Amino acid sequence: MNQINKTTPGIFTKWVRGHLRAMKEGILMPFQAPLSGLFTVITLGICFYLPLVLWTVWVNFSELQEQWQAQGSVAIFLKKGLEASEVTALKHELTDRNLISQVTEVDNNTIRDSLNKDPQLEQIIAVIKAHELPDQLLIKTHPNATADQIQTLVQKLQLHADVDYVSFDADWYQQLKTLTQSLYYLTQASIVVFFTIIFVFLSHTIGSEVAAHKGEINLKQLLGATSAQIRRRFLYGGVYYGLASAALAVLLLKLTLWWLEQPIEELTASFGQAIEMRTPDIHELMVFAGIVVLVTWLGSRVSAGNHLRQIE
Amino acid sequence: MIIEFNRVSKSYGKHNKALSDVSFGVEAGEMLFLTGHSGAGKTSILKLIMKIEDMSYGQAQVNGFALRNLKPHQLPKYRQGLGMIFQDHRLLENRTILDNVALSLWIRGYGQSESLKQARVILQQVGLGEKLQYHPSQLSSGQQQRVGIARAIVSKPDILLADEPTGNLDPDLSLELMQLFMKINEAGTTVLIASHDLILIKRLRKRVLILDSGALIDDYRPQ
Repeated sequence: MNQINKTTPGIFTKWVRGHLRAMKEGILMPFQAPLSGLFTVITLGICFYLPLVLWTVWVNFSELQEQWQAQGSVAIFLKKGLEASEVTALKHELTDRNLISQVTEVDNNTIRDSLNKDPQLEQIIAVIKAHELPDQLLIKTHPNATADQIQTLVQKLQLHADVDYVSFDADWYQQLKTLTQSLYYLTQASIVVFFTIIFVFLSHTIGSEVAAHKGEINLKQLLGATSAQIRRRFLYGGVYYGLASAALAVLLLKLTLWWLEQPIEELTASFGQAIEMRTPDIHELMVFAGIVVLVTWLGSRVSAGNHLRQIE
Repeated sequence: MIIEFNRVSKSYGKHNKALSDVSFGVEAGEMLFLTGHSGAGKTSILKLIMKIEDMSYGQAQVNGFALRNLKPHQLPKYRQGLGMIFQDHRLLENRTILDNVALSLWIRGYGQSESLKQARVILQQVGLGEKLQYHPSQLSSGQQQRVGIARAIVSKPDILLADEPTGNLDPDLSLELMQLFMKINEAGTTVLIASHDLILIKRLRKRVLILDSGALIDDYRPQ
């Protein structure tokens, strides 16, 4: 009989070939029962979409908050007649403080120009035109600074010899910070909840796939297949489901942002801000794909492992 | 000895004894039959060798592995040294017969083209070279049995086990199949066939282990 040469391939060659084969077999998984495969992709897609939307909202809101803060969460009005060297010395003194991340000097001409740009401030400008505006130092505090800490800082600055008046809206600062944090925690919670749903749903899908291929699995075991060889195609199948669902989630996100673009622009414009909604860039999408692969691989691995042990 | 059974027993529950104190040895390159009436223990011996089931008592050594001490991670390696032909063929319906045969080589890590090439050669040798792209359901029972044989021998196992391979075949096809087993045996593979077809066994003049109610009652060696 003309049979194969008994020299078996090396471990690495076997491993690579096994993965290539499983990659091909796994991609067929959603197509073996197309309707059920489609429902799985839609369900997982929605589960990926909701945290992704919340994350995008959080990122955009954080940027908006930074814009607001960048304008100076604390404004120091300097006493008239200060020399440039004194202003510079005060800037250095402030920069050295732990709570302060950035100090920007704004002269009175710049303030006047920016006020002139806002049509809603016409009456105020008319009043202040007669007076000389003071120079300002705008302070950006560190993101983790609490309102109390800033309030203490403001009180200290108020006592400084070169400072005329310090303006800080503690309530607004606290509200903004709380809102951003709430959004952040909501995003985190949604990631945990929806990824758990994905994990459970995918485990069920993979479990059904394993049960549907029970005869084939038994045969492969008798022919000498290892558990890893048998498991692999289900892992790749799970990851393919995940990637297809993630693509659907990104598509839904783009559609949502396109749909909401105009209302959001109108809303931010009413606050005197212009915002362009930021969608995940290629780097963030790669990270998202990586997380999707990890979650779906883990879900498939746990499920396939359990169900195969039951068959054995 | 490539197969050695030493006082092996297998029980299902307290009162159902499938094998009782069975001892025998098989030399490498030997061809022999296991025979006996239905329920005599032929399939139980094959299942123990394939490690589908575990023995209740005794010791068995197959292809250098002590079956009682075989660890789960050693099982695939052990089974890759065996070729099994099942009475019910166990072919995958959703694959062509070419893929069914190549499956055995893919599991052993052979490449796609090498596996398909070798599967094609073996299927031609068992007379199915014209039906490579057929699915099992499109073949007769005898042809399906040949696919099962091709799958079992394509990887050149050290030991070939066959469970009632002629069960569904007419006498002419059965003889043809046995001649195929003899060819495989001549190539150096140890062949162990469980069959109750005494007429056929007699014609081939090979060693026969006769079982009755789970006990080995005779070890017949032709002169």
